[in-house]
Amino acid sequence: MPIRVLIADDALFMRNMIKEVFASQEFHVIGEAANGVEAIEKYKQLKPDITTMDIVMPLKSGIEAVREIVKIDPNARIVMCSALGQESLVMEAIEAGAKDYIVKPFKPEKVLEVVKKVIAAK
Amino acid sequence: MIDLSKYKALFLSETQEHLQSMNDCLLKMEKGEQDDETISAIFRNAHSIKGMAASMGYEPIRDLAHSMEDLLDQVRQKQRTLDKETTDILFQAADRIEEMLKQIEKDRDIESGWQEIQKKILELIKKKPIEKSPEPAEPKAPLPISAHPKGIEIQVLISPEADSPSVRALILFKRIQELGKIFSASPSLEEIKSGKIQATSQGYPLSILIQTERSEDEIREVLKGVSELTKFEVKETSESAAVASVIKAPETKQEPRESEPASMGSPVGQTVRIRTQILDDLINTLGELILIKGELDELSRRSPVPGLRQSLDKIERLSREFHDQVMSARLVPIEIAVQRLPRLVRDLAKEYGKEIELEIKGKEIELDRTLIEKLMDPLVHIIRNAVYHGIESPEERKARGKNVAGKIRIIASRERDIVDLTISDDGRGIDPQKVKKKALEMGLISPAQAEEMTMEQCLNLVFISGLSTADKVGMVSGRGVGMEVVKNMVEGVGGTVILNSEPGRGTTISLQLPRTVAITKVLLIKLAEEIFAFPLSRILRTIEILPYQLRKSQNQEYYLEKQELIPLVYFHKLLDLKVPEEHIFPLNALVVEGRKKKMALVVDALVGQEDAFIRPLGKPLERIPGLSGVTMLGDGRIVFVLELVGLF
Repeated sequence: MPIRVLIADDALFMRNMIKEVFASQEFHVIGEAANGVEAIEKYKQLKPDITTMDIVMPLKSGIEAVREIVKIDPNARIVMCSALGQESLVMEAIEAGAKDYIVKPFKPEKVLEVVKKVIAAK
Repeated sequence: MIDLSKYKALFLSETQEHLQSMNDCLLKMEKGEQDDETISAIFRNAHSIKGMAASMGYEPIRDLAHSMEDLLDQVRQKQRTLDKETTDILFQAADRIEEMLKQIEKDRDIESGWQEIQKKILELIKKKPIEKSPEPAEPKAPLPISAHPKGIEIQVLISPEADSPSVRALILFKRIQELGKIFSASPSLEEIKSGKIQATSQGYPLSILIQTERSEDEIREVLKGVSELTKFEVKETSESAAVASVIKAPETKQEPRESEPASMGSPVGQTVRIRTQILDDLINTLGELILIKGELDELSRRSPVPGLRQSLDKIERLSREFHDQVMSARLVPIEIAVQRLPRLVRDLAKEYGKEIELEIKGKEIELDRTLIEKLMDPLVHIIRNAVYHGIESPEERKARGKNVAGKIRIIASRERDIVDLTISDDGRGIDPQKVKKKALEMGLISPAQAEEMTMEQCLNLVFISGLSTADKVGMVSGRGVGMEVVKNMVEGVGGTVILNSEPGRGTTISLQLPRTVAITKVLLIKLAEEIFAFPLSRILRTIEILPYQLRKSQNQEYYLEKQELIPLVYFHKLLDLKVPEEHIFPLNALVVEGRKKKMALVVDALVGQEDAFIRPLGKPLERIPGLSGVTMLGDGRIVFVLELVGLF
């Protein structure tokens, strides 16, 4: 069974880039969200295996979205998508329950390594 | 034989630091923040004190710290909760060690009495409450309590290519936390969170010691699932070895790994401890240098030499920089003065059956270290007053519709060269009428004076020695000497104290302090043919007043400025000098602010500015109101430095 992915990012460009990274037999992008509120809604609805979450998004930030999703599903696997210089925000997200992080600009192999390891962790 | 005496100062200061940290942690834990990291921290403090005292041969400290360590070990092993009894005895022991340090500092024999505390601790250890501490429910299956968890040391190297090494370290930390209890970590969680993670050429080393039920293989499996790690090592350590490495852990990060050369940016060597006397000497030497520069200025004015002016200007600029640098080395955060207050408030609140929250803001604001030292006692006094007189009992507060817990706030802020330290409480406030009545009764003021006093003046009577509104004389305050001491200290360094109080609402005391002392910019003024110096920082601006700007009302003249009426006062009058018979326009005046009121002080002439190295006045001159010191001008003339304090 392919790994089901939810992508949350307010930029269509970024969503498409990430989608391309996941374009293989192993993964299946099952949903996209353009803001934090939508990310929470889609998560509830789709129960993805993994979620990539941008930090700065309209309506609700990625960090807030992580907090709420973890409340609903303590085992949620969320990987933060950050830019360099956002260390403290990423740390906040990790404290909130995000499992890992990737840094823009994405290197596909690195994104896949991180995501696979997060999936493999019990 | 090693000469231990030269290590004494270091021993004293380091032990003091450990005691402070211990106090802070105990307070934190008393508030319910009983996390493992804090317990380990206190344990390490006790352990370090024990070790240092042993090497210095101070056996009483060693033994007392040892018993504390044993007690804390039970807490750490979850064989004991940190209940009131335990906390109290630990506080007592810490206080006793502090007293012993004072005795050592004064080269006195260590007084006995500590043995009783040690005995109490040992008895407590023997009692060993078996009840398990109410731990938060663990998500894992319950483990047999009899099982002895192992100590496992995890050494990890985060890849030098990691995008955000500190985030990676945090993720790792959290993963490991899920496996067991973290004893110690280097770098610590705080260091990781603040991004302080040191790189070596091979990456970012991280070592964590945990107590866990998991096997080494299980842990390796988990580590394999973490990205961006170049290597990791997992090995079991015996229980005692685990403890030993807890102690050693902080050092490991400073040791270069394997054969690698020590990196240039190593944290070691970025700071040194120096005797504060050296800083004082530097300032004094610089002060002399500035005086000589002033002499040169004067000489060059009399017989100009080409190029000399430029060189003097250079010296001027450099000495100013030098001064600023030395001054900033003397600055220490206010934290040093306030760090003991949480403990003080706790103890006092307990003693008087009050509930009090203490809020401290602006700890990082810096002040000259001599000021910090001088500030300690006044601060303690103000806080004691707030707890004893200010904050009402929980019942009384409830009846008045206030929060049961009273609040004391200490807020430091800085504006240019003035640091404001405001201490406020939301207690019952000071009733000016009551103060006035008391002052009358005690004969401190006459009935006629009382009649004429404003509310504000009544309030300020509390600064007079001997006045206390406490109904009974308490142990900690109400002896009526305190506020005078506060005022004298603050004003002695050129600051001001502003007292505000609203009956039923609380009291606010603002201490406005100069940030640095020693070299002060002064304005030279002429009064009755004499030259005086007046600190520039006290002057809002200088003005020239023309007749049309004057207004008169009830015998008082005012200077009118943008619809504001500023009382006009001849400076001469304040100093008992001969006041000119009539105004000679334009009038030169300094606009100053004292006690929140502005005033235009008329002077005969403004002479110039000067960097003054102010020397204190000796006895008996120091008692003359209005004089704060003397300074030597470039031409060798000695002038008095004026201070508004005590003049009105």
